[in-house]
Amino acid sequence: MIASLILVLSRIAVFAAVGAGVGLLGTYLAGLWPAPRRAPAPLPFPHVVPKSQDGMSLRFAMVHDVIHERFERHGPAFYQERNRRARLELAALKTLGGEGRPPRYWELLDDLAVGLEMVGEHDEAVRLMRAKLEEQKSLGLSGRDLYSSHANLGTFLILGPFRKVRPGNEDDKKVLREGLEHIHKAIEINPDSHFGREIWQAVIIEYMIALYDDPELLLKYDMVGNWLDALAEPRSALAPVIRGTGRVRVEAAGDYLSRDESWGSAKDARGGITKVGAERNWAGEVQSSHLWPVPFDEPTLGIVGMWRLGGGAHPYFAVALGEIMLRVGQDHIAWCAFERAARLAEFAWPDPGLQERFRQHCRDRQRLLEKQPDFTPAEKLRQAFEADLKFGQDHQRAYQEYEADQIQAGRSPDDPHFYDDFSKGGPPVASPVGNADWYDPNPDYWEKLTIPWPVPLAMLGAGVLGMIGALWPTRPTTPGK
Amino acid sequence: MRKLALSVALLGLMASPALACINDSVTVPHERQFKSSYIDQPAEQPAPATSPGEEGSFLGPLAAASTGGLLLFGALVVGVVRSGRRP
Repeated sequence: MIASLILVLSRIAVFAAVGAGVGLLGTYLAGLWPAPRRAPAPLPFPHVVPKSQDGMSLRFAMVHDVIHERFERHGPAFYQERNRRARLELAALKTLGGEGRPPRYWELLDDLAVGLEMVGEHDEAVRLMRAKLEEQKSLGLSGRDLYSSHANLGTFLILGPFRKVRPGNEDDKKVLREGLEHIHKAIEINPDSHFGREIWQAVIIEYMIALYDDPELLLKYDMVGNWLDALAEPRSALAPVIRGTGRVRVEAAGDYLSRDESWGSAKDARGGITKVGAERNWAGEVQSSHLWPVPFDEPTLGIVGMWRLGGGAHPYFAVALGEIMLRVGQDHIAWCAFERAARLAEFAWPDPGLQERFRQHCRDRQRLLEKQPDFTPAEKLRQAFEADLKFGQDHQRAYQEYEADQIQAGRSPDDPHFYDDFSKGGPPVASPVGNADWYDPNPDYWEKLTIPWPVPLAMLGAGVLGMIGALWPTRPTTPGK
Repeated sequence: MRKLALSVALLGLMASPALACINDSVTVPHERQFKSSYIDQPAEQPAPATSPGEEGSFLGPLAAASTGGLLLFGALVVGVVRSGRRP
């Protein structure tokens, strides 16, 4: 009897010990192990680590700058001159004959089509890109060779319905769907191009198609699915559930900034980025390829890229940036984004009533922000916004006038020193990055998050396996053995 | 006059509800310049910013520890009972 008891208890003890070990291992692997204490020092938010090794990471200054147009854009003179030169070169290349086409030929067609779109010759741009794609296919080209044709054609096609919204118009929806198809093909060929910008271009097209059927969605979700009535919690760029070893991973973002070759070990820091988008019933109401919340820097970089390198300011971009910045605690940038969105409201939808409600949403969001402690008085912020926007727009105007003057003087935009004199003219248009991408992990914060998980999970493991050990079938003892 | 035309053109571009991921010969240089304008700036010595909110709770660990303790106690009881029944 005693021997049997000792045997059973020993087995339970062994099982419990193994269970405790499994519990401890699970604690560590789940990132719940308490992190060693460190002296608190400012740390970069995890979004400074890019999604891919050679990718671009976000800085909040980028968002500030697009909202205020603080970047350079080519003007019509640039594109007209480039179109002229492209046509001459294309004509020369066509006379060469021979098998196939040199890569330069396709590049020139892209340049010419983009240039035509930029000077308002939309139909000709679409025609040219369709012809390019057909010619490429007839020559047996495929895969990466077709990437820019699909991306440009998809982009040109959707520009029509975006420029002139005709709610419920089936032809426009058809064009949007065709454009979307080309964008998806481009993404399939080259998923990492342009910092993932095309993925968000597809999402905004899907959003637009949904708006054609139900314009009220404009007041329910922004283009990435942030619910417009949300109170926007949490309000930090750092996800609030970083515990134990999870904290150590997030701290690796600092290593990445000092050594970008450490991306491989630092990329897990991205697990600490606050997620946004696809809120509430977005997936049910908008037929979108974007179904789940994503780290906030991904759509933000996409929007910043489309605004800067694409067609420019748009109320959907501005309101989405406002909603995202609101959710990551960048209150001043959010306020400015809503200010810009309110000023662009007439381009949100043709219906003046909907425009007014869209504008009202932006103003409500601003009032919500103005209630934050230590928030700059609205009038002061509005003055600063106007001054900053004027600076950006004046800079763009000066840049385009410079281009026109230089071209008129016979200089080629292909000349690598074409912009040298303009660059000498003043301070850089981009804002300094500053310290908005850093935070101060005060010790209290980390202390609160250091929940003693190892012991409870070791106990749970010991209990579960201990019980299994207790219930383990035993061989009946054979008398005489 | 030219300035006026440029301004009008600029406003047209700004106001056109357009978006685009165009691909032409200036796309890549622009992206490179964009990156260098921000990412290649030397990191500024940061000043303290706001710490994020806290979302920890002791409920989970407490539940796990209690369940584990009960199971372990139950295992001991089962072990004692089963060994007592054995011939």
